[in-house]
Amino acid sequence: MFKPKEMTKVVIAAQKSCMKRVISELHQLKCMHIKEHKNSELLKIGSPFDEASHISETIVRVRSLKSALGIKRNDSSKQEVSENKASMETDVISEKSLSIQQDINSKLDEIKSMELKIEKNNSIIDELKQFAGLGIPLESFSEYKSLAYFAGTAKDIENLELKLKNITKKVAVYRQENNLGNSIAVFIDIKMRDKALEILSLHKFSPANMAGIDKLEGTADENISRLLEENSLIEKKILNLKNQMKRIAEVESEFIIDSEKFLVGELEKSEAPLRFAETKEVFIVTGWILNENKEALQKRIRKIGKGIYLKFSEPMENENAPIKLKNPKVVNSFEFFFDLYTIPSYKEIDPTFFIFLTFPLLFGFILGDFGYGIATLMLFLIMRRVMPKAKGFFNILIIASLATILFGLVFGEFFGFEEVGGYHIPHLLSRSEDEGIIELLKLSFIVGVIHINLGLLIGFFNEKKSHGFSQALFAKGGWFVLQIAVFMLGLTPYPKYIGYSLLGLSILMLFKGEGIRGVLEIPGIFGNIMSYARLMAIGVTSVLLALVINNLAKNMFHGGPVLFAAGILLLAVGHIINIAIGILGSFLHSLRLHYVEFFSKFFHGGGIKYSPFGVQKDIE
Amino acid sequence: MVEITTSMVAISSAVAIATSAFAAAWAEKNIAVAGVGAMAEKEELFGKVLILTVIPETIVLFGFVIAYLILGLAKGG
Repeated sequence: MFKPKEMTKVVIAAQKSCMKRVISELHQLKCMHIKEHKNSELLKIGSPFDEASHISETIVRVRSLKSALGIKRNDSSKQEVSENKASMETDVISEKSLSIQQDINSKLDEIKSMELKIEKNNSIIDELKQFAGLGIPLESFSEYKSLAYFAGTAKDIENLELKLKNITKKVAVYRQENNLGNSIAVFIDIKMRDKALEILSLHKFSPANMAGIDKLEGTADENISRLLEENSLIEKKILNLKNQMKRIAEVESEFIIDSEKFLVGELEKSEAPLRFAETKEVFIVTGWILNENKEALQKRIRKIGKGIYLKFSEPMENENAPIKLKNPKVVNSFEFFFDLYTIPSYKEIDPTFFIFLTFPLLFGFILGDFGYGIATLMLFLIMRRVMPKAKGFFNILIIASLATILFGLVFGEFFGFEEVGGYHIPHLLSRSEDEGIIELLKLSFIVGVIHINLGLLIGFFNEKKSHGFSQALFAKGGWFVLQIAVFMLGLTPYPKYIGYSLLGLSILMLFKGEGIRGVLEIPGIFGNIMSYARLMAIGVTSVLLALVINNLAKNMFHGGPVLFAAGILLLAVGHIINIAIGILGSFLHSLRLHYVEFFSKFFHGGGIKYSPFGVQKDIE
Repeated sequence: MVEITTSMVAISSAVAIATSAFAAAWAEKNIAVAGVGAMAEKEELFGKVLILTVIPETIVLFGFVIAYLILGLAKGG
């Protein structure tokens, strides 16, 4: 529980002719964490197999299909490519995916060109709308020998018409009011063209854009309805094509998902030599396996042939073996905190269990309300159902909620109330009274002292393991002596010289153990303990907010039915917001107390996560 | 000795918490800005950025404790 799983170092060396079989065995076993080889003069990095580029090409195609068809991995589908699909081959996948892709691409192209057509039609319709209702066949707008024409919009048309009729009799004006303004079409003697233009410009004439319609026949209205009909036909066709694609997606989704999984595995295999060392004839794989997998690996490798060198060895002092944490079921959810920060290194104590003990307690101490605890418990139970991927995270919060309920009993609080229906909830400590708050502050400091000393104690054992007992005694024991000295000076009636000499001793010990850095950090430890005041401070603000909500609502309950309803709304919304702030605050602050105050006493981290060759990370 | 009135005690307590809260907020703001920038480059840094961001929080707690002690003056004196 306090140590990660034990690792064994493995070295495999063999002739290159066996490389493919070795890789395939390792890939199937899924137990070896391969240590990547660094290029050196003696041993070069291996080069990938030739098929790698073909495979990656196919992966790209399969993935593009996946996104084009909108296929998503659903969790219910099998985690592994089933064995009877072992007939899968890169070439087969490549061909099939190519044919699907051609099919899809031609459909997509068709859809695109049809969409373009709709767009074009729409822009023509926009132009046509300028002539809607004029009732002139569009072919009339063409070049005449004796006539000039103007079409567009203008203002104050009645006057305009009069003015035009004044200059010549050979004029015809068509006009129509529509939502674009006043549409107008003027046919006039070509000799009067310039004059007409002058008059038109006085009436803010703006010519219509006729680029798209000059070849159309019939009136604008006829053309509009024809184009609309055409559009709806095209839309039907597009829908049809999209449905066809949907059907393809349904039929092929399993193939595509399985193929992707298979190909990712194949690619990993064919690129594996990049992680090996090689000479002209031989390749060498170095890596780590769990102790328990030793025999299985040996058996498999022996099966391949005799000429393979296989050696197991214990990790050396300075070697950083990969980490597979080993914790019981409930506790392992808390490993999440290391994924977020940095995972423990191979030699140090795995503190997951301690966090399992202390994190929920600190969280509960801050939030500490029976009602809030039950509400958050329900919430997180539901969330765990909804988001099975974040199960570990919600497990943490569920345990933290239980602690919140527990502390709710200690503080005697139910949604901020200390009295429910005239019944006074018994409490050990009240957070809404001044004396209670002072007690709580003291309690927070005591929690801080315990927590930090727990950290120092773990640090002591870590140090003892890596640097021996005397180093541990000076580097970590010095802090204990320092605390005792301060305690004696401040809180006990013993003669002062005992306290001062202990203080001196502790400074000497720290100097010996951690150098000048240790001495400089002396004020820091009191800052650390002070930091636990947040346990009380954040908790009290949450209580006060709850009290404010309750009191406001209480006053509203006596003011008639409308205010009564508003009061209930206020209670609901207020407490929901307060719970949300409470969860966030309690979580972040307890996390911080662990990361900053607790971890700084013992934790180094920097471990590498055990990720065996052949185990695929989740494909989205 | 000059007599300290209750209101003066209240005001000094408020100044203690307000200035330290402002200081903490200002410090955190600067760190968080840099942190978010770093996270945009490398998302795994979340844990470390979180720690760096919350370090100055202790400032406001110091202020809080001092404010509380000052308020104690009002009751005691």
